[in-house]
Amino acid sequence: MNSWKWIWRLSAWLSAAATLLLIVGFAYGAKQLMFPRPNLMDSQASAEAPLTQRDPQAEGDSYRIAAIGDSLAKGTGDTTGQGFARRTAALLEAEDKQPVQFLNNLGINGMTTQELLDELQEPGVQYVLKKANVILLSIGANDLFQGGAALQTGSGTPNPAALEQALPGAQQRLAQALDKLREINPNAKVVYVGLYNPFGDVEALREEGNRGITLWNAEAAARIIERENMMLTPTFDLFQRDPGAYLSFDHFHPNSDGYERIAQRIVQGMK
Amino acid sequence: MKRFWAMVQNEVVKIIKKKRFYIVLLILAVLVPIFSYAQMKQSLERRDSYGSDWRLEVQQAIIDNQNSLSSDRVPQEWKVYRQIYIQQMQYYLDHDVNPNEPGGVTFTREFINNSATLFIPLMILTIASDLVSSERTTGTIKMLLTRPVRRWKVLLSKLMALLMFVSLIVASAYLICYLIAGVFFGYSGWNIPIFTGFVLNGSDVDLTYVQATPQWQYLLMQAGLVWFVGVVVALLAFMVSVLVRSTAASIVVMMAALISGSILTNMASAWTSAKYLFMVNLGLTEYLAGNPAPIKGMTLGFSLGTLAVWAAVSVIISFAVFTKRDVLT
Repeated sequence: MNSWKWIWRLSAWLSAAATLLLIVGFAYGAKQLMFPRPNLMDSQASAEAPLTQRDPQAEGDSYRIAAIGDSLAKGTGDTTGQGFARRTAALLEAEDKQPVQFLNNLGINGMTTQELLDELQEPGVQYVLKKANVILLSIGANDLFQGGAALQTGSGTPNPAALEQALPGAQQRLAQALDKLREINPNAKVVYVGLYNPFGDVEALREEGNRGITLWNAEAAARIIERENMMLTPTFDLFQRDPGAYLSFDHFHPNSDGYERIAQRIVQGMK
Repeated sequence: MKRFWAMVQNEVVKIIKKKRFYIVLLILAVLVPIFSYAQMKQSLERRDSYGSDWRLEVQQAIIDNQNSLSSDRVPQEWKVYRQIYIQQMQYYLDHDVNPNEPGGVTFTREFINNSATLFIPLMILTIASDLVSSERTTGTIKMLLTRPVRRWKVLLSKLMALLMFVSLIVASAYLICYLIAGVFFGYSGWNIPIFTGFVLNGSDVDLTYVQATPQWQYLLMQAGLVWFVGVVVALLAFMVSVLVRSTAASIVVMMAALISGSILTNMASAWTSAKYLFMVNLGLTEYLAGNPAPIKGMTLGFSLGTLAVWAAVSVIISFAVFTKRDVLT
């Protein structure tokens, strides 16, 4: 009987202590949540975020690959989900010369040059880019074609006037993005993946598409070669003869084979 | 007064003798290692794909969620949820703080977060649901009521004992979780900053109230909220146990209510008046984590109020029924 007395005392004291603690926690939590105090932190502090202050990682003896840009960088249309970015890493790995580390795929569907410029301000993105020594970039197609919407809706074919209007601004933003990339990471090799014409087998759109894209690629190439350690990997010819075989169902993005061929090009260019 | 505490003591000893509390502890001691092991496996797998760099992982999570925002197949409510998630993760990155810093304390926080609405209430049910009904099934209730003590005092002593065990259950859930998870992840992490105070305006997050809270403070607040939920569930189960004769029925009624609550909160609730149901309001810890409420118009104040009303009504019903009813069998 005596032992029950002790058990009672023990549980009474323990539960009293626990209850007290829990009530304090509850009152504090309810107060914090219902009457929050505004913080005095500058909400636009991201410019001084610790991640942006870091130095780029020193050149090691490994490939550290990051991809950034639009749906092509992301790998949309690739049934395996790898895209040219991971495929490039896989091909480099297969060569077995240097260890390969694939850092991040920062590709976002539908990204335009303007969105890329915004994205490059993000501390987390800058952190990844600083860590990389190979940056794969794909951008521009959405500025010119609005993500292939023109083809799917059939409404606005890429009309020459609109295309020519979009080109100079987009090119200028591309140049800004390249400069920003250099500023973030002065040493990394930047590989820009050139545009191809997804409308190659659509009679009505082929001409206009070809013209706009060759124009874009030429201007982009001019901007890229004047910057150090940057290069443009052409893809136009890969999708010229038989677009159907290398494009996915949406008729805009490459399929797995298409991405593999782009990746092979990138690896060749890096040798 | 002294006699009242003697009655409470009697009830506490009865609960302990029934070994229900040991079962609760045992369940925790079995489940926590299982979850810890699963979590450890998961973090090892992550390490394979991202190296040891959490920043890469968080950044990829942001990008993946951004990509899902542009998909038409994703329902609108999920998009709001993901937008908020993106902004929170961005905030962690901006301040260079790892939101998932592995450690026993972080694991405890996550585990309790996931068990606040179902698992811990279930543990409480094991004790609360048969408190009165078992006296009726075994017939001991007559002995209890023939004593020269007023009926409401009998019931109050039972209620008191129950509330003591609610605190004990919540506290021991934390303790067991921390002690066992520590074996897997280490015992550190009390001072990691956790950001709280993300105020939601539609799909936008207002950052003016965001505070960096040390994790021990976060745990304290979380425990308080879980305790409040536990008390409310205990009081409701207590009422059911007074109303229903069989213990099994009383457990099933409460479990059905709890499970229906977790189903209702997962459904995109277009049925806004469901927010007055108690089981939809049990996710108090979600407010702390800055997750959007399951139904529009719910805030912490609203949930606390709703739960308090339900609890008060169930206490009134319990006492009214228990003091008036004839005990025949």
